[in-house]
Amino acid sequence: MTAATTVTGGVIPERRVAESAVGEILDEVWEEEPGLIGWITTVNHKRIGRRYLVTAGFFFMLAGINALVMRTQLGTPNNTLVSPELYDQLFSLHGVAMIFFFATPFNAGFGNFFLPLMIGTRDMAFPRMNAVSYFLFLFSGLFMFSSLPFGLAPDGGWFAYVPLTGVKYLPGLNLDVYTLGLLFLAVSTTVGSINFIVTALKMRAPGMTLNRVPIYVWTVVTQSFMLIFALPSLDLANAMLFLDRRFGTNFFDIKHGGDAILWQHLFWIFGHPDVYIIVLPAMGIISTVIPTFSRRPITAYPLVVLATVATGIISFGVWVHHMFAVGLSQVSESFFAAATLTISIPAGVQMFAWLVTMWKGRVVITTAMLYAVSFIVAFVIGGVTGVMFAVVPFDQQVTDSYFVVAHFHYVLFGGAVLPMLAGLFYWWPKMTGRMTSHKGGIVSFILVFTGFNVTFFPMHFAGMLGMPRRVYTYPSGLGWDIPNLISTIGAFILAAGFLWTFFVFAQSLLSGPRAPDDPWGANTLEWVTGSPPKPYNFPVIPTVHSLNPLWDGKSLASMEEHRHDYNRTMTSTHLALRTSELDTRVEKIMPMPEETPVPFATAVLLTAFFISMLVGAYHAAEVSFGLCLAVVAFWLWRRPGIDEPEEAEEL
Amino acid sequence: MTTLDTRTEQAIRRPPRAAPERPVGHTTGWWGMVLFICTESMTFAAFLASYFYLRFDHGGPWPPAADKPPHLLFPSVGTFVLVLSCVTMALAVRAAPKGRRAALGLTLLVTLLAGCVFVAFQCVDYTQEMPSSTPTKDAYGSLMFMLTGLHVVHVLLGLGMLVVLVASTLLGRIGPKRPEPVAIVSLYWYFLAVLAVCIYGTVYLTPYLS
Amino acid sequence: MVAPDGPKSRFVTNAWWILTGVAAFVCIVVIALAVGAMLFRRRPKRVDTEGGQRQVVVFGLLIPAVVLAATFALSVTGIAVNANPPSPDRVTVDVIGHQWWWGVKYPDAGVVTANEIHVPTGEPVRLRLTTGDVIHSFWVPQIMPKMDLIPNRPNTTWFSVDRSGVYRGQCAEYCGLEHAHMAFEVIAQPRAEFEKWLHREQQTAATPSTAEQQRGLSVFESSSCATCHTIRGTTAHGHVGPDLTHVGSRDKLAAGTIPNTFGNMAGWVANSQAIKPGNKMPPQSLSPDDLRAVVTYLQSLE
Ligand code: HEA
Ligand code: HEA
Ligand code: HEC
Ligand code: CUA
Ligand SMILES: [Cu+2]
Repeated sequence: MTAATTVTGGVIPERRVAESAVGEILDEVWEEEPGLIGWITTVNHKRIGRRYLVTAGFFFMLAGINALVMRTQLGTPNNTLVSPELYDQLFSLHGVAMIFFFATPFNAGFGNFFLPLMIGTRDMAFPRMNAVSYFLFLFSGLFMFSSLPFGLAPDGGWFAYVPLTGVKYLPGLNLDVYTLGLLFLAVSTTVGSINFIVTALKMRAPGMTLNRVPIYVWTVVTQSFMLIFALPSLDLANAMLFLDRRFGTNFFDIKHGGDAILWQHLFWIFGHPDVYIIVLPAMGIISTVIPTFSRRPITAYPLVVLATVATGIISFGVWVHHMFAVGLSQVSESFFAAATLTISIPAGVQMFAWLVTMWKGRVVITTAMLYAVSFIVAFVIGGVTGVMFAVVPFDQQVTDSYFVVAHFHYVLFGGAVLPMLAGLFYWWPKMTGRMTSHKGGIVSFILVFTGFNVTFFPMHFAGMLGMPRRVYTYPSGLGWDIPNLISTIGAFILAAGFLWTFFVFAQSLLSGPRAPDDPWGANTLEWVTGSPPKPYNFPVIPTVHSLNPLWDGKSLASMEEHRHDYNRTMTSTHLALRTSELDTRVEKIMPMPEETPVPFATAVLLTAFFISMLVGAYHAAEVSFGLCLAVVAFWLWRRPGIDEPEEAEEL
Repeated sequence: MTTLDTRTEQAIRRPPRAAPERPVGHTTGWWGMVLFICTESMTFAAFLASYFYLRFDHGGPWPPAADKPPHLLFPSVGTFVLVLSCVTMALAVRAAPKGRRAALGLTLLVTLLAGCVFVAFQCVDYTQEMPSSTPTKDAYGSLMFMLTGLHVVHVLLGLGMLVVLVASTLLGRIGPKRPEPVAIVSLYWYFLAVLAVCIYGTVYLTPYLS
Repeated sequence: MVAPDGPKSRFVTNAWWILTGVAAFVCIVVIALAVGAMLFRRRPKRVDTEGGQRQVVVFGLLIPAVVLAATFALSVTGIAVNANPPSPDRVTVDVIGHQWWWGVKYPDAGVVTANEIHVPTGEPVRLRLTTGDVIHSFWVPQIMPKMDLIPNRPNTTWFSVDRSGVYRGQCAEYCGLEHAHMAFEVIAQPRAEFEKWLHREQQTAATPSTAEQQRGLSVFESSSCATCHTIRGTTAHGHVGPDLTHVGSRDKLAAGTIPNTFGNMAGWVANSQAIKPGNKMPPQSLSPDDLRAVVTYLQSLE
């Protein structure tokens, strides 16, 4: 098997043939409502995915601006640009927003857009739930951010340790915004994760048996499973904290039998898996981009898949490494140190799989590839500082110092943001139908990568010199001045880089050259569809013959062969193919829902519920929750199986 | 090189009959419910773990000296009834594909009733536990009321699903052609029963073992 | 890396050198491979689409496993070494965290002070950590790594200082508004000097020797100060703020925020909120004369 020559000149021939057979009728069947109504009622995974990206990108910008203000404040010692009240809200909101409202949903955006395309289907398993997830994400994000102008943004840090966050020490609404906002978002995330898993289990194109599932899909599924198992712990903690603060229960109240460390366990049982929840799909992007631009399939596919799944599992057993300074027993410290070390092994396997892929292939340098390789550079630096923390006394020295801040920005920014930029540059032509400027992309890369290192590398030194994190200012003369100044300068280079990147994309939208179907000569199914894809994605569902369907010759041909087969064209209404979990036997043609305003209504009512809870209008909360349930009941009632030609089992 | 061709009549209108008559394998709805149950189980697992964590962290007698041990009568009967209702639920699952609409309606109704009994008994128990224990007096009370309370909320959710099922049965919207929803709801109902046993054991029985 | 001056931080520093060496090596190898591929694999003679598993297993799995096992050995050694002091301790210090200052007690000597921990050089000191409100974390970078102060969970640990000197420590767990201004000092002295200091601290406050000081004392006792502060030997028995019995002898004020000078103290008492916004001491509306008197008195409390 060798990399096929790049298909140039636009449309993939096999798809053109298929489209000429059934394209017109599918266009008609899948036509979308334009305008505002269409915006509210759409259930199309690509539109929803795009929205996820734009919204999460917007929150990234806001949280990034928070960071710029923080960096300006910290640029010089004894600075008084912001008050301590504001600074505490800024860093808390920055952390919360970057983790919950940017990194996870940005991945969800890519997942929404590309998971169905990569597995060769027409939509997500539960398109209406998908729409709900998005609206809930949007509204909970607005809920969270709109607190800042009122001075009510969370101010207990992103992990909000009790008892500080109890009502006694932080009496305002700030922490209620935190608990409610995160519970609110959790609904969205949980629903979204279930959706990803079921889609990947039941809707893969015929022939895409487990050993032919793209790695990106594996990472999204692993991530979704992790969310399903990890989020409840955070939800429970937040619910308990909310009850403690509002209704006087005593889960964390030391005077009445509660305990402060319980919160830390509950938070980090979620919190540690969460960092891999963020990084796994990002690694999935890397595993997609690197083979394409190395012109060969990924090395050691089974090992990479195993490593992905193993990371997901092991990550549930290391949470105590965030609590090494709490004074737990030596036995548990040793145990969790060992677990922490174990988790580096799957990371190493993946790292070397990418490196070997490059060394055995032919490297093509594009902006996406530059970002992908810069991920390797950043992640190894962030990864090894993580390994250093497994030496418990060393961790006790640097925990809660800027050394940790450096570690987690190297793995979060380097490990998640850089791959996301790689993904954006890689998939941009598919999403928008336009190419980006090559030179512009390289300048973007240079600015962002330089800015990133200049910002975060000096933080290692600040931490080693004893600078604790979460301080709004610091005295001069302790050796902290210079690293901080450099970091601040770096942050502005970074901001310039993002501004430039934004213009590169804007320029592409306005006047970029049109993109062919498969500009990179890639290997996965999304490149068979149009740029941008039609609402129905595939005129004919292909049969997948290998892990690299675009390179094996046969998978594409199957689109042409099956163009008169109703089971693959499904032209009568919104339909999709349901296949068996392991070997993708065709089970059924499944009706898919049409456009509907129900998701929007559900989300609005749930928003009303959370706002009422926040302001303590409990009757209003009851009413809106009741209405929300009624809408959901109506939703369950009006199922496509009854009022429309066929059923789609959906709950 | 492939040639272009025009659209054929064959490809355009064919009724959706091509797939096998009886769906094989699990549906997306089934998977959705299973995953939902997974995430719910984790919530309760974390809650039960918190119960024992606070209990052993607290040390000393449990319930704390200021509280009385829990009353057993109503929760025991309620839990028993809820567990028993799994039988009628299972009968409903069997009746649905066979088109026995009366049997289906009846079994669902009995299940629904059992759920109501459980909720009612739990509420009666709350009145008995107070004022010796309250949600706000100490961690013991908070745990007891909130853990069972969260479960009650989930049972109410299950009852909501049953109401939709009963109504659908009456209107003929579920039946032999469409038995799936009953099976899916039954999963949730069994889950509620298992939870009830775990919570009963933890909240009502373990305080007596110390 | 700060220069270590105690056995605990010496271990950390040594570990740091080893770890950084290994980490740098891993980074260099990986970065070289990544950049090398970008430079040298653009026009290869042939593209190999098979194989590579073995390299992945060796470099990604086996070699890291060995390195990580060694790291684990280092970690366990560190845990064991830091668990117990090399010799029995003779001094016990209780540190009580408050938003945003440190209460310091020597239970054996009955001494109470704040934000300053005097210890004899070269001897292990037993440290007992508790908190009066939220979680704080005790950290003296040059002497010992962190240990948290947690409500209801007293932590006991130890440290020792190799050389006499003043070492800055700072609260490392976010504890609210003024977390940034919650520093303290560890002052290591030869045993004899330490004992002299301890003996002086045991004394009750010096009686005022001038009229101004006398006036200061009576202002202190009669205004709100006494409700929050204790000066042993007077009627002031408050427990909200730091014990001021020997405040004049302290190096810094308000948990390391400002040097302890007459002017600074006057500024602090008049309006501490301008210096440390949000701290728990309200501005005091004293007349200028009263203010001068109180500060004169407090400064005399050596
Ligand atoms: C994307 C996010 C992400 C990722 C991927 C990681 C990855 C890792 N993290 Fe990190 N971590 C965070 C996000 C992340 N972390 C955050 C946000 C915090 C702070 C939270 C807070 O306090 O606010 C944190 C904090 C944190 C701590 C607690 C520090 C403290 O507060 O005291 C620890 C301790 O063990 C740790 C360890 C690790 C380890 C061992 C890895 C490993 O997975 C790294 C594995 C990767 C490699 C090792 C590189 C590649 C491997 C090779 C090239 C093979 C060869 C390598 C060797 C032989 C060493 N992390
Ligand atoms: C994914 C996660 C993520 C990302 C990407 C970042 C990005 C950045 N972080 Fe973040 N940070 C966290 C997660 C993240 N952070 C977390 C979890 C914490 C801990 C919080 C806590 O302690 O509770 C933290 C804490 C933290 C601190 C420590 C605060 C403290 O302890 O007191 C600092 C300090 O410098 C900092 C700085 C920065 C900077 C300068 C960036 C920069 O990379 C930001 C760059 C982005 C921009 C500058 C946006 C600019 C965009 C434009 C200008 C226009 C483009 C326009 C469009 C797209 C429309 N962060
Ligand atoms: C409501 C309580 C309260 C009152 C009243 C009060 N103080 Fe304070 N005081 C504090 C607290 C709390 C601190 C510690 C502040 C910090 O460092 O965050 C403090 C700190 C100080 C300090 C610095 C001590 C040190 O070692 O750093 C001095 C000096 C002081 N107060 C003097 C006074 C005087 C004089 C008065 C009366 C005129 C007074 N205080 C009234 C609560 C109070
Ligand atoms: Cu005390 Cu931070
Ligand atoms: Cu972790």
